[in-house]
Amino acid sequence: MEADDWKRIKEALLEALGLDPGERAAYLERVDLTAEARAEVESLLAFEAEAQDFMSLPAGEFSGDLFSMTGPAAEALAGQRVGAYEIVSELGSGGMGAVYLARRADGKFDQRVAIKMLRREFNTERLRRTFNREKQILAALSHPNIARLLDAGTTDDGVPYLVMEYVDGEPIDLYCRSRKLPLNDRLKLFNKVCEAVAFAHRHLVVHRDLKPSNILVNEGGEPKLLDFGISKLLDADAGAAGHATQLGALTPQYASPEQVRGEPVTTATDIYSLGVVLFNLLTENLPYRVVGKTAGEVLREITEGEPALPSEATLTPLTMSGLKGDLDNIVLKALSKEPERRYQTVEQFSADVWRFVDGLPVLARRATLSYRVSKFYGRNQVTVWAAALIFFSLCAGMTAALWQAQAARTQERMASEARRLAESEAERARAEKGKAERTSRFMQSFLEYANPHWYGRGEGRINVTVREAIDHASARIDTELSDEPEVRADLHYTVGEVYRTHGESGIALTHFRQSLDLYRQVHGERHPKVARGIYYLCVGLSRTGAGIEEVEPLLRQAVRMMRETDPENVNLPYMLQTLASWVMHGGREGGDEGRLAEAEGLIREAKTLFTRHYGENHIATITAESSLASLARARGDLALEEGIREELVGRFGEVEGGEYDHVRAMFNLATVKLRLGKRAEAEKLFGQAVELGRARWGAPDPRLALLLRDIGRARSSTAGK
Amino acid sequence: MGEKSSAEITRTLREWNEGDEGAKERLLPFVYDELKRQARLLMSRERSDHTLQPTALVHEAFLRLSEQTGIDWQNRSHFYGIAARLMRQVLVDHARQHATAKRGNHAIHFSIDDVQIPAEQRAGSILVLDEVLERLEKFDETQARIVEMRFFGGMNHQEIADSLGVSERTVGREWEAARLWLYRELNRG
Repeated sequence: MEADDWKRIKEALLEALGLDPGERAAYLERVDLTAEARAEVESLLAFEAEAQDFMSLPAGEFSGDLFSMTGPAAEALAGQRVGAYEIVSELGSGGMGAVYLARRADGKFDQRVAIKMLRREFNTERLRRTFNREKQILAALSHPNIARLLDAGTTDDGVPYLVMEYVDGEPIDLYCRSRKLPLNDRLKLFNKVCEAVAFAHRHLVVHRDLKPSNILVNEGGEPKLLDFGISKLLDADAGAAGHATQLGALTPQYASPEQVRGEPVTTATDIYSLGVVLFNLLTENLPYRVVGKTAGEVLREITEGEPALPSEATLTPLTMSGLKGDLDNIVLKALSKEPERRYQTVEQFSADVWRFVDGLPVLARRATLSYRVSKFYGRNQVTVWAAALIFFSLCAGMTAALWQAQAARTQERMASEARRLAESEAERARAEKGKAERTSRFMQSFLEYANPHWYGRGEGRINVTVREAIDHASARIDTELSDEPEVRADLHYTVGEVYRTHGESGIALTHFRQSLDLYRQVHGERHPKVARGIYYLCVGLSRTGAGIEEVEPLLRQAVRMMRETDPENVNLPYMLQTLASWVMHGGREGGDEGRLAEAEGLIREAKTLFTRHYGENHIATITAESSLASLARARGDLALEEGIREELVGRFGEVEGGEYDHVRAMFNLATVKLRLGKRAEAEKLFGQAVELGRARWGAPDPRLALLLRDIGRARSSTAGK
Repeated sequence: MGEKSSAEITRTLREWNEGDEGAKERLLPFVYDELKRQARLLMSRERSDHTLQPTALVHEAFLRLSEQTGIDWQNRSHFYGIAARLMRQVLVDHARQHATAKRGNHAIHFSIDDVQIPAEQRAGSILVLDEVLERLEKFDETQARIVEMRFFGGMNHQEIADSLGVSERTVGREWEAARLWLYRELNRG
């Protein structure tokens, strides 16, 4: 029947029903209907009396007792033949289908199999297609760690089924937990899973739903991958991506950010899920807190949140001691939000796990470092040359602080150092454009080597580390730039810096000395650049742990030389300030007011020079002023220190490039207040500093980590006072 | 509902809550399981009382889901609509398991008198109704929904009217017309 016809019939029918039976015939005579429609209305009206109590009882009451009858669901299916098999029992059922345990009906082999059957009520075209796809995919995957497809067919009443290898085992997470497997056994088991997934990837199949319940481990300890139900064939001509949202059935904790967002799914998606599986095997926990969170919050966690560190999240004493460091890094790399930052292949992921098992250095840590540095680099819009120096200096600062846990003061000093270098080099670059361009090209290739994004595009290598980049570049400094001794001198210094931060102090100092030698070679014994070279050497020495006895005399020599050869040199105030901090440092130890007075003189001189070079409101000038606050602290004059810092906080906030210092200035002010017993004010400032840092740098940033660490230290050092 | 699928449901529920009507379709298989489980539970406990209150059942299922997922459900008519749909699926599925033949030799009334008819035959009647309702759906979707809500979902006209956004009077008229058509289709030779 057509909807329009029915509409007219319905109108007339209802109209007639509202009339007395005697008036109906007359009504139907006059109403404008086709003969057929009229016949239809009459036919329906004829059933009025008979249908009086039709559907008067709700269906639930009419047939509710059907539920109390023992249904043929699993029990009645038992013994039923499906192809050459006979169903034994139901193993489980998901949303769309059920899986039954079955055995060969002919008794030829004592082979148990799993039969997966689409539920009759969901036997729709769309689901049959999904089912068929699983069949095709499984048929192509014959691997000892993937449950095999044995047969497929359709039952007499048209329900499709798959006959699969029956895996009598436990989900991998339970297997590890119930057997209290030690760390290395868990890792080896995981690597077998990786082999199976890698195999699927080689056959252009992405599983898309990897989670412990789909990885069963049998009695023999062999893991088997199940359920390629929503897997995707990476069809070469259809492009290498599929969408995750085609079937809205995913397990959030194991779903990747791109799946959650409904973005294209690639092999990187499986790598992410394997990362969660590894996280779970190592910790018996999951990377994101979900308790008490709404669905939206959980999904936001996956797309934006920072996963817990396995070493901090672990709930099992079996792995507790082994996770910190390499395994944390391996897992976090696999859990990267951006697919391109994860391991590029499952093999690579697995190889890194093997490296850990074998006690070899892993790739994960270093790649993360280069990523952080490249991220930082990407945010800085300075000339390439200056940016390059900032890049390495800050990289130096970050790594030193994070992995070598040096004092926060060193960090501050290095940050100002980085700026100073950048500024002086940028200035020089302007003056000597041609040379700078050549240098910048060199530095650019240097940076591209270290930047995983750029490099990865071209040559398919991504896990290039800063260390590798530096090795690569340092070998080329003296050959490629042989006619640029001054540039070589600069580069030797920079390269030395990076080596130092990677714990290669010996190599670092060699570069610092080469740098100074080159300056001397070009300019003779007494020259501003030699003075600067000595100064660089001093900075290098101090960062490789040299003592005041060694550094201070050299620094004094450099300052003297600079004053005599080029008193207007922009490096001089930086040198003065560095000297001041050494003098002050020594002074504080001995409580020597004479030295503190000298330091004050040096700082004031630096401040005057900075003001002359850059003006009042420049980061360097303000930094010099903050040294006066440190001096006040060294003298024990907390009130003065507080006053100075109070004023500086705002000023740092206003100057360009002062974001780091602004946050640190808040922190410094807070620590004075803490010492003065103004705990509430201090806590407020700590909170503001963290908030500001988070807003400016984003959550996973080494500078933020550093700040949080320092706040912790400041709190504990004044606790109980 | 197992732990496994509750996570899957969470996402789908959220999508539905945010206005993705397609999510409702994807939700059915999951809620279906829960509903069936509860229905079975209820019937095994209360053998003497055959009354199934589908809306209450589904409401219960959704409440559990809400607790698990932290999603706030306010629109009750949404529930009822889906409850009816699910009840239909549950019943038809059960009927399919129990029906010995598609129809017996009784007229199909779905009235209090029919309770005396053997369960296997009543199950057959449900299957036939389901088929006929599918035909109705093709040319009058609204009527089919109304039948689903009233007969399978046990909703009253006021509730149906709220759910469909039409007047109560319209619901009553459509119901009458549908009833006559269905009865004729079920019982004519």
